[in-house]
Amino acid sequence: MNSNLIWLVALPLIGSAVAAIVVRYKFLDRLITFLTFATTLFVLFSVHVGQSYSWGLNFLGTTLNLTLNVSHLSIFMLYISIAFGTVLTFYSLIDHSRMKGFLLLLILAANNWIFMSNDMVGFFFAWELMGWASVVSVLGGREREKSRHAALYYMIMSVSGSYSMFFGIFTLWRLTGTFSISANIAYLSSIVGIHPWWVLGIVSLFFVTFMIKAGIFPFHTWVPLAYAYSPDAFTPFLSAVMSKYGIYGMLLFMPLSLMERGFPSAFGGVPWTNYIFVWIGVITAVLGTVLAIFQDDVKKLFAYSSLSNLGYVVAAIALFTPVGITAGIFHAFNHLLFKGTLFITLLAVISRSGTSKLSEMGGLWKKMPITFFTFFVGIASAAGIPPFNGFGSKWLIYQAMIKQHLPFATILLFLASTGAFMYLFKAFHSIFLGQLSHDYDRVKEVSAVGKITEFFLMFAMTFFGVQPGYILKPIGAIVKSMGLKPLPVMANGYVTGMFSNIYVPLISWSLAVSFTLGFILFFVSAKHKYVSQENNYTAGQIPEDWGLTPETYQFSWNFYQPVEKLFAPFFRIKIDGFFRGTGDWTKTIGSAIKEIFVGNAQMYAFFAIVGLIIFVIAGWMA
Amino acid sequence: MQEFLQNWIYLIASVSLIGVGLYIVLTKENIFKIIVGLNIIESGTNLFMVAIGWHPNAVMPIYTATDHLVANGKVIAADPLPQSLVLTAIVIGLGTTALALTIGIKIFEKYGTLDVRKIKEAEE
Amino acid sequence: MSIFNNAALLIGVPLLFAFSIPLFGLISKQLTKWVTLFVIGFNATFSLYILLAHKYPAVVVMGNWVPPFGENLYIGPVAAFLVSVISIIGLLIAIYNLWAIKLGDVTRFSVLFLMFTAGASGIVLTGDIFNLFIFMEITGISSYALAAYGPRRRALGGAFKFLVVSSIGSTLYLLGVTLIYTQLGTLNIAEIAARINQTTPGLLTFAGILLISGLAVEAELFPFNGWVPDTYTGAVSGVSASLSGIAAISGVYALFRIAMTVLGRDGAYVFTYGKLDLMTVIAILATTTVIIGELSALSQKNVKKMLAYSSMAQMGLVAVGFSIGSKLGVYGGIFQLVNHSIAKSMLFLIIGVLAAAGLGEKVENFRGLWRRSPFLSLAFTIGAFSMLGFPLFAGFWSKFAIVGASIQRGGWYDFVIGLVLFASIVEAFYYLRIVTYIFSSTEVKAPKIKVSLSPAIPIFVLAVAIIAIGVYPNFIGNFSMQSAGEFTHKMTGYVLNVIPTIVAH
Repeated sequence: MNSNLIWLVALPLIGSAVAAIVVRYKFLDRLITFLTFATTLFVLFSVHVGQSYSWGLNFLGTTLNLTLNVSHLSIFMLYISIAFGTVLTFYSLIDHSRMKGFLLLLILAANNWIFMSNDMVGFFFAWELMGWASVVSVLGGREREKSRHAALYYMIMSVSGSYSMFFGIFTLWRLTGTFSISANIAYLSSIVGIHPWWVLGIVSLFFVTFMIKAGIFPFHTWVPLAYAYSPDAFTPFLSAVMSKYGIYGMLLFMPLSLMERGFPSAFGGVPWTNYIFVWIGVITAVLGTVLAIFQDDVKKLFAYSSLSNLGYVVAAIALFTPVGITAGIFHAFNHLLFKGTLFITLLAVISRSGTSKLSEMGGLWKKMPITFFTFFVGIASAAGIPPFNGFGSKWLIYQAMIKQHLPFATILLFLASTGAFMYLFKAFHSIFLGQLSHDYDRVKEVSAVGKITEFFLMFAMTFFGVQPGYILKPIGAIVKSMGLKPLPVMANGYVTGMFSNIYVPLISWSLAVSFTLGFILFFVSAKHKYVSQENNYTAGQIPEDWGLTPETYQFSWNFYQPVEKLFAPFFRIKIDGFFRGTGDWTKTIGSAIKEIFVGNAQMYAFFAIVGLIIFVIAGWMA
Repeated sequence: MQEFLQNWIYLIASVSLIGVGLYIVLTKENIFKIIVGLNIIESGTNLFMVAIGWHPNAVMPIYTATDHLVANGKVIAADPLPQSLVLTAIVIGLGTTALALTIGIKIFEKYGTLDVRKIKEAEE
Repeated sequence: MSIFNNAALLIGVPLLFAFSIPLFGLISKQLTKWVTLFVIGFNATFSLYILLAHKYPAVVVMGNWVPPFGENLYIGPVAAFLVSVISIIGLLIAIYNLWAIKLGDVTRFSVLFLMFTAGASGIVLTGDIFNLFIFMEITGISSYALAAYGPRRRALGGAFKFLVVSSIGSTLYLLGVTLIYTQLGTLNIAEIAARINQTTPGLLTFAGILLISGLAVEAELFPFNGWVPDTYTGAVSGVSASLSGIAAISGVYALFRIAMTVLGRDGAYVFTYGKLDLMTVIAILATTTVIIGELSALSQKNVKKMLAYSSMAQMGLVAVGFSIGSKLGVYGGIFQLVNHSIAKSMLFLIIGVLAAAGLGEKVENFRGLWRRSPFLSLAFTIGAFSMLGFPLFAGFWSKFAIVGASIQRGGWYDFVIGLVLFASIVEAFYYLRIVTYIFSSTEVKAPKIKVSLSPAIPIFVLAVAIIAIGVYPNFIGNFSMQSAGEFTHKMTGYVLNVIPTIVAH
């Protein structure tokens, strides 16, 4: 028996119980968390594709078989999530935010179970476990009251999603009599030609859940709140790993290929269900970018950035072509790596500066050089600049889009990419460049553990940027397991079979060389003159005369005001309003119904008698 | 007419008692009147139970007392079981009434009124 | 039919001691609470012995009057299981009462509490519809009196409301019993169940409506549940805990014993004889109850009242499970009933401890509770999560089964469960609101809350039980499954065990 699989779930659970006992001692809690992550990673080395493990649960009157099954997709997701978790927990040893290690371990157990589960009972169990553990984790943010509201909002979205999936699971069960995911998907694809609308309805029940968890438009509203107000050490995990659960779920259901059999094609040979989904992805990407540009809270900014990147992923996998799937999964991996890195560096910056407001930071690069460089590599990746890792996947996504002849979607994605430069530069500039406020005179670089982590992450981003073949190989296996023809990828990153072939290392090295040359020229030729911080841009005017306060004096104050004006009309549309409106409406009805129960004894007797009379009449009629 | 009365008078009476009791419970504001209403409902129920065990021509259900227990192949003895049930029900009714009266007195002590509409707590 | 007459002690011993407690009271008032504790402890031990040593199914026959002639108790899987749950929760609440009941008439409180437990056990054990009425009244009268206990005057208002509504309910029930008796000439549940088809459909429908309406008062179904919020809020917390943990079990049991065993018709899904399908009626009532309960709780600022509304809604969920009428649905219903009892009584006990520490009942008062008492905070969170049906907690499995059973039945139950799930989202919101308050911080430094041992034990045990069931549902699940069989297959599961020779008509 492949009992190592069960250890992947059991080990974190045990670790979580132990950590929960010592939760009062923060360091012990974190240490156990880190060790459990590392051990789980170690156990994972013994796991390989094709293993499965099942045990019976005496439930629902029969013996339910809970099955764990390792597919190409699951092992890929397991590696990237656990590896990132290990790095993060290693960093969190020196962190002081209120993240609780045992909750993270609960999420890890759920994480492993979700990725391996081949039955919907276990999947749902793990999904719900992950849901509540992450909600409780969000609770401990720096701004308590805001984090409380964010957690509640996240909770409601998450629970609504779970119940939608709940309904879908049992509808499938009613139809097929089994909980096995693969059997049910096979069943769905077998009837999609006959009852396309049925299948679409059932799959939508699942997709709502996945879209909520991944934060895809129009269910993205919880994302900025939960990301911004969760404990700083938890945000990296939330953004890097947890948003991928939704992507994983979508990928599970994608092999349905609703298209060829069930639905007619829209433009570019893409079936219109997928076509709509591509556009949902594109809208998410654009929306996230535009909103990110105007944020002042740096965590919110990167939350919107996550949103935008997941939009890219969804748009790519919705195409369901070899290039699209490859590009989508690759971008999911890259997003995990660079967004995780960015949030870890933000954790370092925020823990030192005590604020997450861009307008209150600035000039920190001298104080925290290593963090600065890590952040720099991170945003270069996020912007898709070679030789760092974000480039390859974005390039592939454009390729996939163009190959399916979707020009408008491609143009919008290009625009979103340009917008990404804007917000990334804003964050980069506002945090690290510009003037250093006197408040931060005594800020120090992170300690050794942090430095090790940052060096490692820098290395990883560069390595996978230069040698994407190490990731594209397993992705090729995934694509093959979905019944598509994988792209011919060589280990060194030469990708063919597309609109145009690319050779990433070549691009990377040429760019690296030219940048280096550029830097050398810059330092050799330029004449530097250092001026005092206070006298650099008032140009002899007295600032107070112009209504300038020290706050607005900051460089990043109203950084993109002209662009903001341009987009101002669109900000009036609030998706959020719909959800809040539903909530308020429910509340109003609730307080109206509550009035039933403020009567006296006679009132209640009266209800009972009226109820009785209604039944008697009903009985009479029947 | 007499036959009709003989057959139905107790049932009609019991249903009317229940109706009267319900009317009192639902309309009167005084706690003690409500308790009296509950009692009347109870009496109606008890009467109903006794009435269903009874028949105008029935004899008492003691085997040695008469040799007319079976006539034309039909048992015509009155059913004794409902009467024993009613005894139990009366006792239970007594307990409920006593408790209700106690609560009523306590309510008067604490709230200073017997009007059910006035003892409503302020919404907390 | 195996005879196990000793099981009558489950009712006899508590009643005997209930009425002799005043004698103990002459010695010491504290002693009476210990006597209560030991007697319920005896009940718990004995019922657990019956359950674990598998002494059921068995019939208790009084004075050699075998059923259907005499009054009998029937210990099937349901009775054995539910009596154990009732006695164990009763025992834990008795432990809590050692600490909580200090003022006022301790002796009579103990008398009433024992009577209450005995009555609730009696409802579950009895095999006779009139005895069911008697035990209902014993439970009822003692619970009105218990609800009126305490220094606060709103307890009286709540108790009076409970009394009026419940009296009307029991009258309706008694009328229904009488109508059935006129038709069949018997009061034995097994015999009525076997011969229910011999009745006139019209009269049976009417009788059924009376019975269901009467029992819905105790089972907290709308519109017969008006008493719930005021009574739960008014009563002291130990009493609220016993009402939701013990009386609710017996109330739901009685409702479905009548609806499914007595009036029911076997099949893939249980329907009832008569012109109207009463299971459908119950399903409609239950769905309405869930929605009204959850929505009322949403805007409630008083935590205790919120728990009361939630209790109402949860009973609605239980009734939805039962009303599906399949084995899976009943399984979910019983499981949910037990989980709800465990979690809700624990929540009420926590509220009691907090109230004694001077914490108000408003939601805002819970702010920063984590700093003041991690133990109570964690226990409250565990209870709330179990209510919401989150995995690793007991409530997950039962909710899972109920939703599964509803969708399996399909048809208009899809709609029912859709509404229930919507209501669950509302429930998630208001429970989570408290939990988020607990873990948020306060500006004011408040002193730590010290929890003494006697209330800590029950809270701890119940919290551990929730997690234990959540991690390993098979243990309770097996008993629930056996119990479900007793409800859904009335002839083989119930009637033939009581009267082996009877032939169904």
